[in-house]
Amino acid sequence: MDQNTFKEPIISPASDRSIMIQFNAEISEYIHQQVHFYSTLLLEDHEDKISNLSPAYNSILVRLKEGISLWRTIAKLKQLFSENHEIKVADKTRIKIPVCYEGEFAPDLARVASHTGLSIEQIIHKHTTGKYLIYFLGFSPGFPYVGGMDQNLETPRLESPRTIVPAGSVAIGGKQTGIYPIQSPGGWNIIGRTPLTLFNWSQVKTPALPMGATIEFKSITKEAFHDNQESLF
Amino acid sequence: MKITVIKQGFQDLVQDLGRDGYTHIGISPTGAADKVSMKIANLFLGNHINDAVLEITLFGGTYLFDMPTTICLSGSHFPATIRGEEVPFNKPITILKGDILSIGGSTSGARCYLAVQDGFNVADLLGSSSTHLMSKSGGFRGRNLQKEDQLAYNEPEKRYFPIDRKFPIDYNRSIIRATPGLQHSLFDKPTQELFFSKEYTVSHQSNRMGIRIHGPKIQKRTPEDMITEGLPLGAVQVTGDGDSIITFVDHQTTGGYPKIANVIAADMHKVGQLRPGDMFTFELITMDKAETLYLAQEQILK
Repeated sequence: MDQNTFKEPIISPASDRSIMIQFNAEISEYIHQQVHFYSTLLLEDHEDKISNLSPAYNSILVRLKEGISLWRTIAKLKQLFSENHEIKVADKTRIKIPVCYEGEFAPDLARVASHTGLSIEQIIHKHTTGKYLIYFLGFSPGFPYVGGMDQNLETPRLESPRTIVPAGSVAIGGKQTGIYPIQSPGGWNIIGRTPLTLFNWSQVKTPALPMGATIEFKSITKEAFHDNQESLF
Repeated sequence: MKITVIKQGFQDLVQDLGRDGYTHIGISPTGAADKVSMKIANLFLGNHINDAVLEITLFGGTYLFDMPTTICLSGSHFPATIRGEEVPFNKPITILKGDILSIGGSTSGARCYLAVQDGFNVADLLGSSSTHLMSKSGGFRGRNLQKEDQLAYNEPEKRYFPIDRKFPIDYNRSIIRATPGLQHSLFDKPTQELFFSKEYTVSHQSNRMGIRIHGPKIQKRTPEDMITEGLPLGAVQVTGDGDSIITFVDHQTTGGYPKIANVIAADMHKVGQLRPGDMFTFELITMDKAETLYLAQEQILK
C-alpha cells in the first residue's frame, strides 16, 4: 500500500448516532498513519461535534455529541477527506518493556511451547527480538493492539477465557501478542509479566503505550522483576 | 449528608450520563443503562440532567437518610416504601432526617433510578461520577453499594419542584427498533429477514457490557473474519456460535464480530430495561426515521 493505491475512505452511518470512516481493508503501516493522522485531527479540531472516537487498524468510528446532526456531520467529514492533507505523524517513540518470562508470571508458556514446537528459550528469543507497532488502543483502558509478532509464535486462544488476567501480563492470542495494562478477563496465552505500571487514571491523556509507538520486550529475571516496580510515567 | 446501606441491593451503582472523550484510550463511556429514566428522575427534582443518581437493578436495598432532602424514583416499577407507606414513582418525595427507604424487586423491567436533590456526591473521575466496573474505578469506590456503605449526597437548596410534568416515553421493550448494522451485507437477504422476524430471548449471561440474546441461529455468508473496529453503542454483534450480543454501556470500545443491526438511540433505554427471560423482536427502520425519533426524544427530555 502506498499513496498511489490509497483510496479516499468510505464514510457512512454506523448507527443513528455514529459514523464509520473506513479506509482500505488491510492492516498496514501506511493505512495506520492515515488513521493516526485523521483521528488526531478530529480529536483536536472537532470537539464540538464528537463525543468519542475509536481509531482501529483501518477505520475510525466517530460518535456524535447530543443534538449534532448525523447527515450534516457526514457531509462535513466527506469535505474534510476530499481536501489534501499532508499526512504527518510524530516520530515513533520506542518503548522498552521489561518482562519476566518465568514461573507464575508465565502460566501458558509450556502450552505455547508444545503448540509451536519451540523451546522456551526460542520463544523468549523470538518474542524479545520483535518490534511491535501500536496500531491503536481499544478493548479495555490502555490496551494496545500491536502488530509484528513472529508468526512462528502463533498459538490459539485458550478454550475458555480466564476471568482474571493480572495487570502487566504479556500474552499471545492467535497471530497477535499483547499486554494487559489493567486486570481484566482474557483468553490469551500468558507468557510473562512486566513490573511496570501501564495504566494510570490521572494520566489518561498521555497513555504509557500510545498509538503509533513501537514496543520492544526485554527479558528480566524474577529478582529484577521485584526490583523494578516502577511506572512508565 | 449521606445514605447508609442497611440492606444491599442486587447491583446499586452510582451513574450519570457517562464519561465521554476517552474511547480512543480504550475507556468505555459507561453511564446509566436507561438514560431516559435517569434524566426524568433528575428533571422531577429540578436537578441538572447529568447529576449522579443511584441505578438499581432487579431488586433494591434499604437505605437510611441522615438529613432531610427530596428524592425521586423513575424507570421500571419497583415496590418502594418509606415509614410503611408506598412511594410513588415520577414524583418528588420529601425525606425527613432518619427516614428509611426500602426498595423491593422489580415488577416490570430491569432497572429503576433513585435521584436525590442536587445529586449524589462521589469523587469526580475524568468529568464523570459514573462507575467503571471493568477497571473498578469511578462512582462509589468503583463498585456496587454494599451493606454499611455510606454514600454522600449534596445539600439541597430551597426549591420549588416542577409539578405535573409528563414525559410521553415508549417503554414497550417487546419491540426494539434498529437500523442496518455496518456489516449487514455480510448476511444474505433471507438471513436478514429471519433476524428481523423472529423472537429473541434475553440470556442470563447479560450485563452492562452486553446483552446476550438467544434466537434463530444467524450465520454470515463468508467464513473469513473481519478486521477489528470501533463498536457503536447498541450494535448487534453476531458471534460465531450464532447468538447475538447487543453492545451496551460498559462495552469494550472495539470488537471483531460482524454487526447485523444497530439499536436506535431512541430505544436504548428499552435495552437498559431488558431482563433475563424477556422476549422481543427487532423492527427494522431507516436511518432518517431513527434520527427523527432521537431528536423528538431529546426535545421531551429538556
